[in-house]
Amino acid sequence: VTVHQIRLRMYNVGFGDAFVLSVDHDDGTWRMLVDCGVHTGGGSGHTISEIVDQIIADLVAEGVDPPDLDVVVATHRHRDHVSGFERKAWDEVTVGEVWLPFTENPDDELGRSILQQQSRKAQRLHMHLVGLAAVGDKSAAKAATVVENSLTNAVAMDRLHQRFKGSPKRRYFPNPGVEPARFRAAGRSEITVHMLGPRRDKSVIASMDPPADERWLGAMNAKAPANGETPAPVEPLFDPAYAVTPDTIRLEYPDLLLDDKTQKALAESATFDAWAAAASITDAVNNTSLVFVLEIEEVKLLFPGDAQWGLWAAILADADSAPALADTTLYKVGHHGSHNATHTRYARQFMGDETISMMSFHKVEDWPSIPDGHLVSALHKGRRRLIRSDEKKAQRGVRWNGTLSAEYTIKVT
Amino acid sequence: MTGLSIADPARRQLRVFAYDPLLADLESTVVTLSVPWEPLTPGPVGSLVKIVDFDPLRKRWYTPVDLSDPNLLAQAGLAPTESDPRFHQQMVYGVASSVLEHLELALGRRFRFAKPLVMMPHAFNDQNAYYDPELEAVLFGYFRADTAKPGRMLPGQMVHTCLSHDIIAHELTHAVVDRLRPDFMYPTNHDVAAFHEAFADLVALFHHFTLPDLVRRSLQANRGDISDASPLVKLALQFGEATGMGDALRTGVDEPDATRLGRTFECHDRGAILVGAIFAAFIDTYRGRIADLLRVATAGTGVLPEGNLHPDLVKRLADEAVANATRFLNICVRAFDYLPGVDVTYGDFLRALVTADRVVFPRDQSRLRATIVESFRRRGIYPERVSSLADTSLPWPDANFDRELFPQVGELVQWTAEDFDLSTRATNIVDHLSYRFNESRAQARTRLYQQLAVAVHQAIQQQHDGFGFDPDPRFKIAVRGVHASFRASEDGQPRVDVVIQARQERPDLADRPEFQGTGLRLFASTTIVTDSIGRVRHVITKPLPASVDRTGRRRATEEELERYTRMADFVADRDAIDPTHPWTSRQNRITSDLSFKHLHLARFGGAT
Repeated sequence: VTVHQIRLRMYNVGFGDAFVLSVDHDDGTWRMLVDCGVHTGGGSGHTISEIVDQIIADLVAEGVDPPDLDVVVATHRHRDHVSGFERKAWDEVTVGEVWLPFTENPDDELGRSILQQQSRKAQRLHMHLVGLAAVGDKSAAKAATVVENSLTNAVAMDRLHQRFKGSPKRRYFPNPGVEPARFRAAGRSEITVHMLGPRRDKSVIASMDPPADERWLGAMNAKAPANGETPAPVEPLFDPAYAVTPDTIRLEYPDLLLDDKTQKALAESATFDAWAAAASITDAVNNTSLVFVLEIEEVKLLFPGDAQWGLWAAILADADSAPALADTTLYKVGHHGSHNATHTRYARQFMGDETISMMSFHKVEDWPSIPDGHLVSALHKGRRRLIRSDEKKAQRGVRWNGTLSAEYTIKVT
Repeated sequence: MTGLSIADPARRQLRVFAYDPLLADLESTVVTLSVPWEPLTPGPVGSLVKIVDFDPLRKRWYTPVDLSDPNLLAQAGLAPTESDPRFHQQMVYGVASSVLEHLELALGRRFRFAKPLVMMPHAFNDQNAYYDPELEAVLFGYFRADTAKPGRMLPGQMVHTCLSHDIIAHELTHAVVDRLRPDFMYPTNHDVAAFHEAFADLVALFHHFTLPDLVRRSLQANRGDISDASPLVKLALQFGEATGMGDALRTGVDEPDATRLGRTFECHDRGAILVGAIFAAFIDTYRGRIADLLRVATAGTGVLPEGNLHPDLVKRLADEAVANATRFLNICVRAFDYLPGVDVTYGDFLRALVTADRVVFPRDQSRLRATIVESFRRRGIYPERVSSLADTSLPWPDANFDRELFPQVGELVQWTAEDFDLSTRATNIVDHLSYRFNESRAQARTRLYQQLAVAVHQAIQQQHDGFGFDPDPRFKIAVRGVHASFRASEDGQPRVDVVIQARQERPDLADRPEFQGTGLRLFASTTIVTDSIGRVRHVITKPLPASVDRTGRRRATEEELERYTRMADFVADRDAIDPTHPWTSRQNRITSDLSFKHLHLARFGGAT
């Protein structure tokens, strides 16, 4: 069988991912959808239902009628990767296989417990932040938007697990004894899949568990005060007989009085770092991402999901996995270009001198450091090229459909 | 009988929990500390520390303990209890004073904070305690024991970090290290914050060995050996159990592994490697020191008989353990005089240790240094740019100046000798400077230090190249400290060192993209060690790449570039694992995340 060309189409969802890969060969075309979702914090101007309709319309336009996909991949259950699967339009699409991380496998005890932990913490944190936001805490409101992404996304996940036409087979990775780390796509001997992540190493598992210090848990357990309500009184530490009034201190022990700076700092130290909590939850879920390389003839395409540093580092340190990362032809940029979702060692040593990167992205004012400037320039460097969903411009090999999608074609000789 | 006065007492006795309330329950380990006498007002408020028992969450003050009350003086303070906040204050004061006394002895000079260190026993509700350098205060948290895994506590029982000997000693040591090397607050490589943690742990561990009752009890129970299971080698047992870890927070004993250093970056875990290296050397030398005693006690076989050891033997073994611990604490603390002022690495610490010990014990008869070096080697710790690990190549090289560059230090030496009078503490010292200038002792000290700083500054300016500084006049050189210290050498003679620290800030480098938004300030820094008449013995530099100036460019040396690259790589490593970095644009992301407050939170709360 000869492969003629490989096309990767990036839909402009905004801050989210939706990619359709088409491999045109002698007998037709093999198609895979990688993720379909958008963050509540960053739409592109095209709604997600518009995008879903377009994905399906594009299939039909290519002559796939009724619409059909060989594989649907959900790299991880963040809203910005799965929200599109909530749309009813998918009812009409036949799917061959659905690929999911092991945390989605109902028969995997470890995976299930990780998912439970993550969902429970995200829900409690979200409730707490929404409560704080309701009484006017602006930073909590912003953090709540970030956490929203990690909520269960039940409707979308239900489709990925139970529905789609054609009763697709569900495959979970890694799944020792069931799924090998390297395999051929069903019915297509010319497509090799290197499944690199997520991983079950102890350190990677640890990175899937968001930290929870006392203040965190205390904050989450406490009922957020409703507007105007005073918080519950704090129980005393010692017998009240040991307490003395501030006047006594002022008059009798003036050298114990604290200066204003200390008083202010002590009051602040009791507050809860909403951003840190929100970011840890986000990272924990990101580290459950499927990370895979498709190798077709000489062409290598890398889809790292939103893997964070911990997962990247484990893959790079593994002599069986790391070689698959070398000389990537086409790279789906991890986590919308944020700095710790593309490992520096990958960008420096592995990626290749002429790699094409596709970055699905939309600028969100509250998250000024995404994308990371250094990363963006590294992806441009020398003969490398970067295609961004938020920047429609003429580039060799790229075909835009309005501002809805950009497709890059690799000719296979 | 009027006119006959009674001298102040030399010591004050205070009862405390030996380790923490948990071990007090299990093993009834309550001890009476003997600390230097000083006048105290309620708090207690002394000359070095000030206990302030304000509870910010409840906005409530607790009655400050008055340790001058005759009833308390007559019974070594309040009896240990968790329910009386005044005992909490007493314990914090007692442990802090004892630790400071031992540190001072090792330093070989009087130690002072800029102002008395504030210690707050009930500062917040969390599984944490930390030193806050901005407030110059140690804040202790309290929390409820884990409800699912409370160890040997009741589920939900209240745990006070201020009742843990180890947590008090650890946090206090952070404050002392910050005073000795304030620029170690800028974490510029993986070792800086880890060194702070390791040093604080070592002081807490070795302080266990200043309490002979505990040592004897442990040696009797463990048949003369310093066992892994003994509370002597564990840190913060109650804290560890109450937070669901099932054991002490940390221990001094590790499994040596030369590869761990290259993959361990969380600063407490990395600190544990250094603690393990020192502590293993301590145990090795202890075993060496008691071998003859065991032979004497066993008619030459060295094999101990069944049953309890003879109390005389236990006492002699304990004396060896205590003396060895004192020697180790001394060698670690003394090393400070030979440490660079910024960007410290474990390798620097090893070189400083060896230099500090070699000047007073040139022959290393007990093979103490050799044991330490081997212990470091087994954990993969090597200095940069040394030709070998031999006792002659590890120390900092001797300086090569042909005259006394700093003759002004003579007066400082005299002052220090007078100040460091072990029988008294600042209260009744006859002070020649105060007499001469009719000024208070504090004023005299300030004036002396100012004059010295000016003179030293001039000498450094004239020789900036020899001291590792950039010639560009835009970058000011600042003298950060000058002090003298006294130590007894092997032959019983006093050895005097004067240590000068100077630094040069390089905002041009800190503004480069690699460091933007990190909150780091970048310094070239130099520690100069002289003798008592100002002849330079060592120059310990941490240079930065030379700037461009009008007269053309001095090429940056390999050492300068190496340091710069290491710092930039460190920032990149930190960013890579910082989950909040992509979401926010903070201007101090490294200094804030590696502040003690956040470090301890991350440590105690996160998966370990």
